[in-house]
Amino acid sequence: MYPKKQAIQPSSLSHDLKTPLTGISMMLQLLGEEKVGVLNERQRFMVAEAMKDCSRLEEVIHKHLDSIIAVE
Amino acid sequence: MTAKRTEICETPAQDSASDNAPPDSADSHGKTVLNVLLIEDNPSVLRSLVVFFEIEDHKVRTAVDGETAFKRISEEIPDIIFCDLSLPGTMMGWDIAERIVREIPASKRPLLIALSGHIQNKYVQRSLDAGFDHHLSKPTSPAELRKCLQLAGG
Repeated sequence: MYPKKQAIQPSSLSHDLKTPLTGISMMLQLLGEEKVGVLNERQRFMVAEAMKDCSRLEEVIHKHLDSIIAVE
Repeated sequence: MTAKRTEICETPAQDSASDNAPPDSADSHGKTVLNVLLIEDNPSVLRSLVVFFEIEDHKVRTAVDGETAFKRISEEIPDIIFCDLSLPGTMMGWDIAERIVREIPASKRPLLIALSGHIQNKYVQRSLDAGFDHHLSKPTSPAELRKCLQLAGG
C-alpha cells in the first residue's frame, strides 16, 4: 500500500514558489541594474523580458494563492 | 512588484534598534561598510542575497539556522540582520528575533529585518511583535534592501 498523499496547503505552495522566485528575481534585477557590468542591447532586452515574466509569476501566485490563504 | 508587497512595514518607535549609533567603518569611497548577518536556509536565496550585499560593498556573514546564527552573533554583533522566518531546527525567525531582543541591549541591538513569503497582516504583525523592525515580503527587491541598509547607517 502506498501512503495516502497529503493535500498541499496553499500557504506552503505559495512559500515554496516564492522562495526560488526570490533568487531568480534578485539576480535578474542586479543584472538589469548593470552593477556587475554593462549589458548590450540584446542582453538588456533578455533580462527585461525575464524580469517581466518574474513579475507575471508573482502576480499569479498573489492572485490565486495568497487570495485563497487570505480567505482561509 | 506591487506596492502592497514591496512596502516596508514600519514598527512602533519604542525600543528600536534605529536608536543605535551608526557604524563607524567605511570603505575607500567613504561609504559605510555594514556588518550584515543573513539567516536563510534556501541556497538560491542565500546566494542571490550574498551577491547583492557584496555588490553593495558590505561585509556579509551567513547562517542557515538559529543555532548557527547565534554562533555568528556571539563572534561579532552585526549592524543588521536579515532573517528568513521558516528555518530548519528548533528556532523559527520569530524565535531568533525574540531571543535577540531578550539578550542584546537596545543600544547594541542590530536592525532586525524579517524576510518572508507570507504577506498576510497576521504574519507581519507577528514579526513586529517578535521584535523585528521591518518585515519584507519575498521576492524582495534591491531597492527595499537598500532602504533597510540605509536605516542601519549604510
